[in-house]
Amino acid sequence: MIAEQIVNGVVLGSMYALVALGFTLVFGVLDKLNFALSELFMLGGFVVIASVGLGAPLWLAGILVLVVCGLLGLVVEFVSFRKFTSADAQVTAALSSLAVGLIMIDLVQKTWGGEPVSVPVPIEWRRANVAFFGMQIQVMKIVILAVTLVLMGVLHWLISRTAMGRNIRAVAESPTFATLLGIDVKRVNQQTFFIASALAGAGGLMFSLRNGIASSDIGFTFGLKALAIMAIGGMGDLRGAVLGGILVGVIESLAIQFGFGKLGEIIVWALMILVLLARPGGLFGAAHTTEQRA
Amino acid sequence: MFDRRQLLASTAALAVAGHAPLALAADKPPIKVGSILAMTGIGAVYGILYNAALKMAVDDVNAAGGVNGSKLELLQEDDQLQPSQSVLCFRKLAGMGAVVELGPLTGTSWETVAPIANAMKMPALCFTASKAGISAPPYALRIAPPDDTAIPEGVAEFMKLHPNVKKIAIAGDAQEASGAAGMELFAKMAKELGLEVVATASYQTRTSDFSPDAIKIRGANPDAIFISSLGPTSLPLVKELEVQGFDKPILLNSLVWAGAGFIHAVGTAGKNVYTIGFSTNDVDPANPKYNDYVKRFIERTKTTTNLPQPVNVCNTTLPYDTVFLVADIMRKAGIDGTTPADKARELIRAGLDGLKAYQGINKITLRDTGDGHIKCHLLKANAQTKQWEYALAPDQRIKTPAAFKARG
Repeated sequence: MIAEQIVNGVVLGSMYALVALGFTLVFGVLDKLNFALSELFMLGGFVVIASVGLGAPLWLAGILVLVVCGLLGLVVEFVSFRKFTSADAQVTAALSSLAVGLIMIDLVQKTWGGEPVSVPVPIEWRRANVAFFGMQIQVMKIVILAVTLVLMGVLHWLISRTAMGRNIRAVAESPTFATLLGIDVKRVNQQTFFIASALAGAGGLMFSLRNGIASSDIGFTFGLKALAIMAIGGMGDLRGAVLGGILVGVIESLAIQFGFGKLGEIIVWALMILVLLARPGGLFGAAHTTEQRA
Repeated sequence: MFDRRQLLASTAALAVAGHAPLALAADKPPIKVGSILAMTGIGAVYGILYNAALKMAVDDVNAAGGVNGSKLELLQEDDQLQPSQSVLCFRKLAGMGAVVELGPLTGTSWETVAPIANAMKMPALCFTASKAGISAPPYALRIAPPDDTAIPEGVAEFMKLHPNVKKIAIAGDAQEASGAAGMELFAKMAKELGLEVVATASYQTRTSDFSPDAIKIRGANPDAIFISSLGPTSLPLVKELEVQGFDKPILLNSLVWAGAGFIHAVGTAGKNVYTIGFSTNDVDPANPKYNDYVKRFIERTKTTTNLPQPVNVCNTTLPYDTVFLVADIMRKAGIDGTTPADKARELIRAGLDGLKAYQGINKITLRDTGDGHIKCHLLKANAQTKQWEYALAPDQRIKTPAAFKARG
């Protein structure tokens, strides 16, 4: 059971990591927190429900999640961040993104109600499992892990090997110098928001497929954990977000196995405090920030 | 000779004189009745459902002439299922002149509000919370049967249906008062019945992923699971258990029976799911009043809510009964809209003091704890119809209620 819990924790953590990556990406580029990402995660499941309801097959619904959430990310960028460019507007922009997220929750609740809604995934898909060294592992978990790894790989490639990634890193380092170098900072911001939001939507998509439900209040819980994970991994560090997510997922799963489930989210926050006490910059933050952004 | 102006004035005077009592009644200010429900957030699906029942009751009372010539006016406050918010709402309603408060919904909120009701000398009547021992007479009474009678009654029928169950797992929301209390009662029942508890999984109201809990439970290989948490929290756990291939009976306490979402969303995972309650959407041949309520409530909620259809009537009869109970007390005490709020509250408190039983749609017996009792039964989820049904035929159901002390 312990090995099975560890595998389960890695899968769970990979979904945390996707949202944390979104937070990290925006924070790394703009130095601002985009709280609406939590609700874009929540929206991922509902876009699947709406798409399938309109007759789209699941694979197309998956693509639509990325596109819709990405586009909504552009809306968030325009509404909550475009005008707040000064350094002292961090709180205003973050609050504005929080407000946009609350509007998303309200709209979802007005459309689908306040309780969890079933996601139309054939139960056979969700129940299919393989035996592996005495463990029972759902195929869906393997698929989620694979998709998450692919998305993380694509993100890494985008950031480190493409012109767009180079521009993102330049803006993260210094928007002023990036402008002087002829980089369109506004476009880079939009690209960053699109990617971060699509990642959050992908996380929500996989979460809803795995659990068979979409819930309007899931974003808050997941978003808070993703923020803690960002701090654990190191603010603005992509590797930290991935490692922090998996670490939190595994620790949560093991805590439940050993009877500490009632502690709930305290575990995540206690872990964050411990990590920050030992390494104030997070697991990667202090030592690698400059290198990562160079 | 009358000129036209005098004729009109005389006619108007006659008309007013002829309808004087009616005109006076309509002129009386309304009696303010407060309610605290979760209308947004995780508990909205409960709040919307109960609000529909409260409004229907208030409309029915008013259509029948109101109370001593005054209409009832429902003041609705949204606590978002947050106990701290419930307290603020309660104080706000008192400030607005409500003479009685109905709600809040959860045990956590009720045990927070009940002492304040006594401190502020404002009657409060809860019609849902299931944690036992938290009502606070004389001002704070609960009409609903709490889990200390509902769980023993439900488990007794569950064991009658599944006599081979020997090992159980207990899971529940340790953060929410009713969830945690339900877990303790399940453990107590297991001990009394000689059942072995092979695993316990505690989680929180906002737990987002239940796969670790399901793995733990499945690994312990119980014959059945007893779960105590609200519908939105229980649903993902039940779904996860299905995914992990657990196909043994699952008994959930009444927290999932109430509300509209669980039964509509549980799907095939509801194959072996049971809960505890005292009514279904089905016709009750012995209770025409109930049948009329069900028909009207389902019809009304089609147009007034965005709840999944057909709605689950569940315990919505209780807020309806509560409004009529309060109206009866006010009628007998001579309360109308002109009665000062403080005096009206005292009169209602006095009326509640003497209450031993109430026959509305439900037959409610008042206990010395300040809680109600209605005989509960085992209900089974029907995934096809998306309705709860009695798990046992009428002649198979256990008629003897759980032990409790009625008001003396």
